[in-house]
Amino acid sequence: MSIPLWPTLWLALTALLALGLVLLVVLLPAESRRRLLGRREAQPAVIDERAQAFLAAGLLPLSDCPRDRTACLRCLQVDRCVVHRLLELGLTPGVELRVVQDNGGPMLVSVRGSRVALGRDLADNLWVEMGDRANGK
Amino acid sequence: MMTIATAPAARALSVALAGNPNAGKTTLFNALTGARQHVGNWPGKTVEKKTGALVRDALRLDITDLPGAYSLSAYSLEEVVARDFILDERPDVVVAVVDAANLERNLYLVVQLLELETPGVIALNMIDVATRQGLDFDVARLSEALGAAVVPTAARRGEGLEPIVAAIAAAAGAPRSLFRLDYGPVVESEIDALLAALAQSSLVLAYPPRWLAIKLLEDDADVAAKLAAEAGGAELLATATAARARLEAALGEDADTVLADRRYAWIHALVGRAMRAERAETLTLSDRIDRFATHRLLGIPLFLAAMWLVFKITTDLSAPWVDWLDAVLTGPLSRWMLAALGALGLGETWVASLAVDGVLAGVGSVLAFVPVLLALYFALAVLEDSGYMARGAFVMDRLMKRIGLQGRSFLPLMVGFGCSVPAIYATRTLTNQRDRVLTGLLVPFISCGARLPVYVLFAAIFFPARAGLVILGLYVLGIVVALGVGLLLQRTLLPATGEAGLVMELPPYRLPNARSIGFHMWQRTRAFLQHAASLILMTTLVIWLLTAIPLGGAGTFADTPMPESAFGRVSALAAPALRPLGFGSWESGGALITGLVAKEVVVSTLAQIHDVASATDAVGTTTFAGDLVEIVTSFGRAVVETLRAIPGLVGINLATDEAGDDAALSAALRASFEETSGGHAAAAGLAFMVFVLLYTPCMAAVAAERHELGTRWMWLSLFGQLAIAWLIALAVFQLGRLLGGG
Repeated sequence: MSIPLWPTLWLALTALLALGLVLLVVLLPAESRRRLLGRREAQPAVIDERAQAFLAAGLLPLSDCPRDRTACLRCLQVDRCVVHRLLELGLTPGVELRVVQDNGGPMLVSVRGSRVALGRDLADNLWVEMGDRANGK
Repeated sequence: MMTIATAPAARALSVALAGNPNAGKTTLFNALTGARQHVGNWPGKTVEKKTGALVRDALRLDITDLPGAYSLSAYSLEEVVARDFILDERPDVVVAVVDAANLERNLYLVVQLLELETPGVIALNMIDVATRQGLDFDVARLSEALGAAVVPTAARRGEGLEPIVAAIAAAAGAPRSLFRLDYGPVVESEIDALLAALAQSSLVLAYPPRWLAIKLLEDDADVAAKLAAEAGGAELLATATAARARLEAALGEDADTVLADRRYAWIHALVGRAMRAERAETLTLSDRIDRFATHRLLGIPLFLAAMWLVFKITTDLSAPWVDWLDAVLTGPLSRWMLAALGALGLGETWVASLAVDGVLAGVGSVLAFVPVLLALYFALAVLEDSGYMARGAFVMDRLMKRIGLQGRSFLPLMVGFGCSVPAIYATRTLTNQRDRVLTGLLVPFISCGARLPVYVLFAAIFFPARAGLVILGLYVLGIVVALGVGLLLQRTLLPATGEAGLVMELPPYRLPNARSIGFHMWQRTRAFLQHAASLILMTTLVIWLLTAIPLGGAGTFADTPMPESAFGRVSALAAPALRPLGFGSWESGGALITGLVAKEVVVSTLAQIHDVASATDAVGTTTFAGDLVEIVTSFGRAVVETLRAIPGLVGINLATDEAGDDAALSAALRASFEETSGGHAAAAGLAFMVFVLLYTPCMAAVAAERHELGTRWMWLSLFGQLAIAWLIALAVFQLGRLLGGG
């Protein structure tokens, strides 16, 4: 019984390709992978404008909020379903919160006496006002 | 609310327990119902349903443990299940279980429960913890504001149970709840407008009108759908949309946000009045532990260490018990059964073969999982109960997201290195169905412990110089295939769900509670026995039947040589399909088929088929008493070995593994593979190992998949794995042949 050479080479090539794809996904940082695979289109400019407006108004994304400082949640720039999850956990606009841990991944915040973990990209879209800035630093 | 009180002994009340996750709801449920519980799934849902009963004098409480939820909206499965139960089943009393140390957040669910206008009782649970934290409650004031009895409890210590039962009995007879949360003039005027519009709808007969109005303002998808089905529903929905628009224009926020904000403001004020904190909130002990447990650099190593411990507990602590069960079943029990059948005159007939090789072997393969599962559920319950599980998910979230899974998926995959079956059951700790399915489909590719003996045998035969490297390579291949399949599934059948991102409460650390861990272990293991046992037993019996039926040979039923049995014929049918992989003999096919029952038997089947007698079959003459003594002493040995395994959990290995090498089997296998592969035995051996790595782990795993993921995914997994195993084994063999591996 003899198996032709071509299918075998082809199989080997596919196996190598699959391995390459896996390495690409695991080893590359998220942004460059996204660019390479073209998975998500660039963020619409409207969002950037809004972010500019928030920054101009003295708000910070939660992800830039330093640890152990009190901040006031002002605006939730996420879609309705997620807003809902946040609201029921007590993250209503105007509530005081405190970043307990920020290790570069998800954020851990203290809100209404409980500890809530928030994904990094989520924290990028929650806008807060720092305590001392609100009091006119 | 009606109370049937015809005879004093006949008073039965249906009670629902509702509360936030981590509020101690299940602990209270266990404390109230004891062992009288039934665990199942909600009809058509993957959410667990627990029911139980409590009998006190003239009172019988039928208690349902609702899934833990943070609110009663239509956004998550748990919330919908809890809400529908209260609205449709109309329990006599709803007990809201509240974590006293976290009152503000917990009351958010309570006010929504009370808005459903079902008589309620509030269990102010974990009062002991709250008191230690310096919190002081004005129970009377809370009770007055909420319009329901408030009972302090400490379910873990069994405190406050009698008062809760008394409060439930009292609440069932009481008039309707008078609770009404004031949302402020703007919202209240819209609620009134909607109430007026709703008056004509027939929905108000089935549901509390004020609740309907509030839900319409929140744009609740479920209520909207109910209304749309009604006559005149479209106009009502238009009215609601207009009311929402007016509200949003007047207050500048989404109606959803406004209502949540009003509820929390009301609760905040109430907590301010009814709770006094002796000291201001500072960095708690939990926060200080979290400084380490979720640390940027320490977090992941700590988590990996914890996972390693779980893995070692499931494998090492259970191993002596698996051996003990096996020894008892194949030793004394088989002998007794044969003796009993012999006494009935059925000694050497097919009945004896069925009883021992079919039934007893099947029972054995089911029972072999019991110690493994008990050990796993012990480890899982400790992690979950102590609060560390949530930290692990937090720490691993960033890494696991890269392969499209959540942090919690890491645990099942890790457990998969021990055994696929508990790993698939461990997917239950994941928070959504899509991630559960995806993780459950990937688990089988992670090489489980039972596959190791096959690798050890084959690597020693075909790659004696590099056995360790080859085995390591197989483990890595399993991980790579799992990653690849994960990526493929994400692009095709299981797309990521909206990129919602992690939103999860991290409960405070607590000392695990022995009682609740015991409950957890017992219930989960029992669920496995109920659901998987029949499938595993049936597969074993079918295989026995196949080996018993003679096909075209000289043998008779249950006494036929292996190649001439139906099993041999079926295996021979499989052989052509395996020929391109280099091991197309009926012997290999047969071993792989029995591998469907359990990977543990692949090696023994190979030995049996190649007619290499193993030493274990020697039957000596033993007495009944001698057997009993043997069972007891081997039990004692298992205890000792378990104890000896404990230091091994942290890396000190006292026990050394016995290496079982069988020269006769090795030679037979080598010859057989040499023949089927046309002189490329090493390539064929490697392909065989790869096939064993990647095809269906065992029937128990398939049963677990059916139970956890559903029948559709089970079939996909079964055939998908066969296809992948075949393709990759083909690539391995053909490549090896090409490269001249001999």
